[in-house]
Amino acid sequence: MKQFLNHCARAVLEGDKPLAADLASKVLTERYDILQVIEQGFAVGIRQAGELWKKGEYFLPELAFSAEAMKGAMDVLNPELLERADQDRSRGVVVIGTVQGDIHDIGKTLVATMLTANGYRVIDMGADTQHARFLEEATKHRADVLCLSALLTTTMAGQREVIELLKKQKRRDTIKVVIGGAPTSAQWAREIGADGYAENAVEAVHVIASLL
Amino acid sequence: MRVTVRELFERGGALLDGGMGSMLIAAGLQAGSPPEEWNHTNPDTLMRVHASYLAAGADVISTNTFGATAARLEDHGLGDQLRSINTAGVRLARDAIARFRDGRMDMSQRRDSGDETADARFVALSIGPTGKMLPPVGAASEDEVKAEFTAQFRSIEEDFDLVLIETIFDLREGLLALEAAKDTFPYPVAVSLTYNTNPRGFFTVMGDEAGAAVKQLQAAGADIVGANCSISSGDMLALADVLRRSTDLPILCQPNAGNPTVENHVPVYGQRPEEFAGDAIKLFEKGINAVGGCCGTTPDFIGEVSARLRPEGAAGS
Repeated sequence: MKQFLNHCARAVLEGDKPLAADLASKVLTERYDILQVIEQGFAVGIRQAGELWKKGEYFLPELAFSAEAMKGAMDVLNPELLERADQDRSRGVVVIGTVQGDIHDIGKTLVATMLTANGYRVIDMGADTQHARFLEEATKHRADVLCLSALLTTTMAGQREVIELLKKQKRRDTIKVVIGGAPTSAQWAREIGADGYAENAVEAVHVIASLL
Repeated sequence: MRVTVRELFERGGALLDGGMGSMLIAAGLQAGSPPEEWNHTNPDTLMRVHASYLAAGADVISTNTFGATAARLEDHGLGDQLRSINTAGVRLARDAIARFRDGRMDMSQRRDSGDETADARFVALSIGPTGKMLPPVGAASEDEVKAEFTAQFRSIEEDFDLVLIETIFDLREGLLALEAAKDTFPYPVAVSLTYNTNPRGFFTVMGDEAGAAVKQLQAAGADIVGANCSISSGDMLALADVLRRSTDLPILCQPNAGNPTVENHVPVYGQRPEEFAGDAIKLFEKGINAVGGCCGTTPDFIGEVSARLRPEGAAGS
């Protein structure tokens, strides 16, 4: 199993989408633990890509290829995960997106993946999401949690603005708000009145579980 | 005989201007709104900024057209003003130079010295990235990206002196812009990429290494190459060495006013003009042909460089 997990990580790290999809298919046919393969296999590849970015060896194209390979795996696994979430009547509904003006989405997508793998129903708004759209989707899907990602010091104010908008609409206590992204922190979360902060995708699952 | 813009770069010691965006914000431009709109709504401010840089000693001033591709103007509901905004941007820079020259010629000393033709000033058309990303990061095709540049170029109904394609972070986009410029204009074309420091050297966010990039740009017909933005004047010194040994073309460098801190979610550039100017002189000593400033730099920065470069006071007083 360990070798299989390494193959999954490697497929993502190397941006090999067809291989990642093949391995994901094998997870289903062999009935491996989907959650384990995501957390200890595919997602490890994304983390390793992030480390190489920090070291200056991976650039945006390499990150994009890795994210695509991850998506390839998740496209195969998602139908199964969604079916299970429905069966478990879902642990909760989460609306997630990157705030307006910010096009970064790899980390946010990984959080969405982990939440889906852990039984949450996730509505992923994508990147550069207008404040009002977050609230619209949260209403439409009766979301329990709003997850806001910001990767730039110049866009993180958007996280505060969404919370202010909730307050203005007198809806602040109807939903939990969790934030994340490189320039953010637990202190920033406290400052803006968020309910939680997560430094990475695995922590995001724990934070949300403890809030609901 | 009047020096040409090509000769200006080839002989070296050329001064470019500094930042425009922060000057406009200081004059009241709202953060998030497109600076290019001010070519219509606040032309007097544009003229004042251009005049300040000319007075500070800039040989080349850049037009306020950096973000004025059709797609980016459309994002702000200004798509139908592609032609007028770009044309106005060029006209304002040209008018600023004409006015500056008229002002200079009023000074009787200048006239008598017969130096008026030696003090040539030039207009660079400032062209920034289209905002459309090529694969794998985005989904735009090379044809689409080149078409954006071509549309912006064709919209300009005024003459100028130099095409300055700058702050490019994907070499492929730089090559496409170069191609489009050469297809459209007879003017020299400068291509300036923006690089980040990295344990392994200087790379764009797309992974283009600086030395390799300028070689490709030279092979593709660029007249001038360079680097701007992202880094401070101090970091630009090491990058200058890489660029200088990679090409015999004229090179321009336009660093930021230091590495920014973030205050209230806005980047703040705190470097002093004196430090910037000290580094600028070192850049010239390394064989860089033209130096200007990017984010956070002001006429004071250019003036300080000019004072050190031309102690006899060739800059306007």
